[in-house]
Amino acid sequence: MTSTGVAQAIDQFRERFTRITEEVGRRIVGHTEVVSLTVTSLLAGGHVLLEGIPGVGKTSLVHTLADVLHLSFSRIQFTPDLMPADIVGTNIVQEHAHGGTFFEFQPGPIFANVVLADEINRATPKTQSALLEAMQDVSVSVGKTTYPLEQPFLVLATQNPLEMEGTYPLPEAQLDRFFFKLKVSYPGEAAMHEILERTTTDAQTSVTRVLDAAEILEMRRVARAVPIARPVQAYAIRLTMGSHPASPYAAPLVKQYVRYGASPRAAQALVLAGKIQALTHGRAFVSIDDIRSVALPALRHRLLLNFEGDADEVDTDAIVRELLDTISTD
Amino acid sequence: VHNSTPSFDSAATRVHASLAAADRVRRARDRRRRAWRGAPYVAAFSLCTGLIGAIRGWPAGLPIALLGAGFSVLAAYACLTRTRNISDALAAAIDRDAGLGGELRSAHWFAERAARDAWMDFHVDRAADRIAPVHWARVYPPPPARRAKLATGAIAVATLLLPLALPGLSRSTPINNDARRPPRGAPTTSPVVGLPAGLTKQLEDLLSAAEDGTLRVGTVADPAALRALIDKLAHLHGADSLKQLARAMAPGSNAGPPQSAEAALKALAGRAERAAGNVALPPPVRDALDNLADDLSQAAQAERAANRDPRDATPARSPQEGNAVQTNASANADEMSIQAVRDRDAGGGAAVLMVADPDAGGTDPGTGLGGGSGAEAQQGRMADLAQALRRETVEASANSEGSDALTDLRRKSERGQASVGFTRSAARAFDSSRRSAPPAVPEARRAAVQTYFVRKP
Repeated sequence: MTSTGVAQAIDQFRERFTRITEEVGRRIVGHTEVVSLTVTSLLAGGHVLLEGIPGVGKTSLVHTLADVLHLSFSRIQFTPDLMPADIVGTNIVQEHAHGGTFFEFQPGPIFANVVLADEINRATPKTQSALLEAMQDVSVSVGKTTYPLEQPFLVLATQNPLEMEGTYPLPEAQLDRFFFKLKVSYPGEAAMHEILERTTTDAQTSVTRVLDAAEILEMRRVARAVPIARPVQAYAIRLTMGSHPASPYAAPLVKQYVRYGASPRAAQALVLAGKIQALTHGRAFVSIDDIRSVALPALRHRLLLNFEGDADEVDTDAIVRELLDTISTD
Repeated sequence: VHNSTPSFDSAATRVHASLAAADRVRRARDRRRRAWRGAPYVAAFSLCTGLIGAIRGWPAGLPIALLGAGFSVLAAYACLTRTRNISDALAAAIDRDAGLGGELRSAHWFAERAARDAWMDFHVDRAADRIAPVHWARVYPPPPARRAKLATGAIAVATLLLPLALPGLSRSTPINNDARRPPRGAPTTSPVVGLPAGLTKQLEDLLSAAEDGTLRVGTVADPAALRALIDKLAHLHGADSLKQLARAMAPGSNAGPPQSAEAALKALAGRAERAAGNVALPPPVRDALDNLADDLSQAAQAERAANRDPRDATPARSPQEGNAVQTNASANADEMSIQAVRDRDAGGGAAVLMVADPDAGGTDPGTGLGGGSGAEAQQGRMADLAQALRRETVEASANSEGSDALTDLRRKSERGQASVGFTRSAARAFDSSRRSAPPAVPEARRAAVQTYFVRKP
C-alpha cells in the first residue's frame, strides 16, 4: 500500500463510520457516544455490554445497528430456565428418506452476526457460560463438533442495574470478554421530545443498509493497520497496570477499593479502540487522547472491587477517572 | 514493513529538524526567563558592593566591573544553547505546547525507527508537513519580564551613578596590605589578647635590662611603673594567661616556627628567676618575679603532663600526701583543672602530676573490679557485672532444676531454652494483614457484609 492508498483508506474508513452512526442516529435519539462506541467495538471485533434502566433504547439500538449493517440478527431473551442448548443449538434426530435415523445439528440463535443477549444476568451461570466460547473464539462446540460462527460476530448484551432479585451477576471471565461496557443514560428533555415525536405519530422512521459484512471486515483490517508509537502504547499499559492495587502506578482509590484490576484484554481494548478513534478523526496515528477517550468503557467493568468498595458503593468510573488523572502521559 | 525510503528519510529529517528548532527556541525562552529573574540580583549585588566599597575604600570601578561581568555571564547563559538529543518526553512537551494532538510526538518516535510500512511513512510525512508552518517563536515567545527589566535598569543606573553620588569612593585608596604591617625595627612583641595592656613590653624591658646588666643599684627610676608592673604580675594567674605571656615573649615569636608552650614557659621562667636574683631590683619586684617564675615552672610541668597519654595519669579524687601547692584557684570551671603536687618528703623530689576532669568529678567510684580509668574502666566493669549476673542466674536455675515442673518450665524459658521451640513453631510466611484483628463491622455495613458473597453486576 502506498501513501495515497493509506490516505484513501483513512478517508473511506472515516466516511463509512460516519454513515453508520448517522444512520443509527436517525432512529436512536441521543446516545451519540453509545452508538459511536458500539460501532467501534464492532469494528474492533469486540462485544458490548449495555447497562441501563428499562426503556432507554438499548434493544432498539441493537435492532437498528443490525438493520443498518445488513447483518443477520437474532435476539435471545435470557431467563432463569434458559438452557445452553437454547443458545448454541442441539443435535436432533432426523429420518432418512430411505429409512433409518441420524443426528442433525440444529443451530441456535447464536448463529447470527449480531446477537442481542437481552437481560443476560437473568440466566443461570451455566447458560451464561455458553456464550464464553462464542465470544472469545467465534465458534460453538456441540458434542464433539465445533462449528465456526460467521464473521463479523457481535454480542450485545444488556442488563438492568436496578432489579437484582433473581439475577446472576456475570462472572469475571465473561465480563472480561466484553470489549466495552456502555452505560445507556436517561435521555434529556429535548431528546424526550424527539422520542415522543418519532414514536407517537404515524411517521415511520426507516433506516437504510449502509454497509455489509465484507465492508465491515475490511474496516477491521484497516483499523488494525494503524501504527501506534511505543510511548502511547506504554501509556495504555500503565493505565491497565495501574488498575491493580499492587502496581506502582496504582492510584489511591485503586489501592483502597480494588481487589483485582484489569486483565491484558483491557490493554488490547484500549489500543484497538484508540486506533479506531484515530481513524474516525482522520489520523494515521494513535494519540494519548485516543487512549484516554476509551478508557472508561474499556476499564470500568474489569475492576473487581473489594469489600470496602462494595460497602461504600464505589463507582468504578470514579476509579478509572482517578487513574486518568494520576498516571503520567510522558 | 520495509526499510527506509528517500521520501521517508526526508520527512524524518524534517521532523527531527523541526523538533530541534523548537527545542532551541524553547530552551532559549526558558534561559532568558531565568536570566531576567537573576538580573536584578546581579545588579543589586553590584550596588551593594559599591556601597560597601564606598565605606571600606575599595576601587571605584569594582561595582561597574561586577555589573558588566554579571550581565555578560547572564547574556551568555541566555544565548548559548547547544543542540541536544530530543527525548520522547521533550517531544511530548513540544507537541503539547504547539497543540499538535500527539502527532509530533508519535512521528518523532517513528522517525527514529528503521523498519517502517506505508502507514508509518504516511504518518511521518503528514506530520512533517503539518509541523513545517509552525512558528516556534510564536509558540515560545520571549518572556516579557517587565518588572525584572525595570528593576534591573533602575538598580544598574544607581550602580553606575554611585561614584558620582559618593565622591569619596573615587578618592579612596586601594587596598594595601603592606600598610597594615608593622614597620621594620618595631618591637617584636605584639599585643596579646587577654593580657593586661603593656605588660609584655614592660616585662620585656625589665628582663632585658636585668639580663644586659644595665640595671644598677638605686637606678630604678620609675617606682610608679614598677608598682604597676607588680600589680599586673600579681593578677596574672591561669595557665592560659601564662602560656600566652610566655609565647608572646618567646625569642623570635613573630618569625619562624612557633615554639612549644612548654619550652616557652620554661624559657620565661628561667629569665624571671634570673631577674629575681638581681639585687638591683626592689624587693617587691623580685618577689613578684620569683612568684612568676614558680607559676611558669608549674605551668610548664602541667603542659608537659597534659601532652602525655592521659591513661598514664593516675586518677585522683583527693589530695595526695605531701605538700601540695594548688595553683589557678580562680580558673574557669570549663577548663581542665591542673594540680601540681610536689612530693618533697617521700618522693625524693619527684613530682606527681594529677589531671582530673571537673566534669567527671561526680562519677561512680567503681566497683573495685579493676580496670583503667574513665570510660574504659566503666566498660570493663559493665562486662564483668553482666557476666556475674549471667553466672548467678544459670547457677540458681541449675540448682533447683527438676524440683517443680512449673518452676522448671518457667526457668527454662528464662534461660532461653524455649526460644528454639518457638522458632520451630513459627509460621513460614507471615501475613502482615493478620497482625491485628479485623475491625468491627459497623452497623451501617452489616447488611453489606451479609450480602457480600452475592455478586452484583
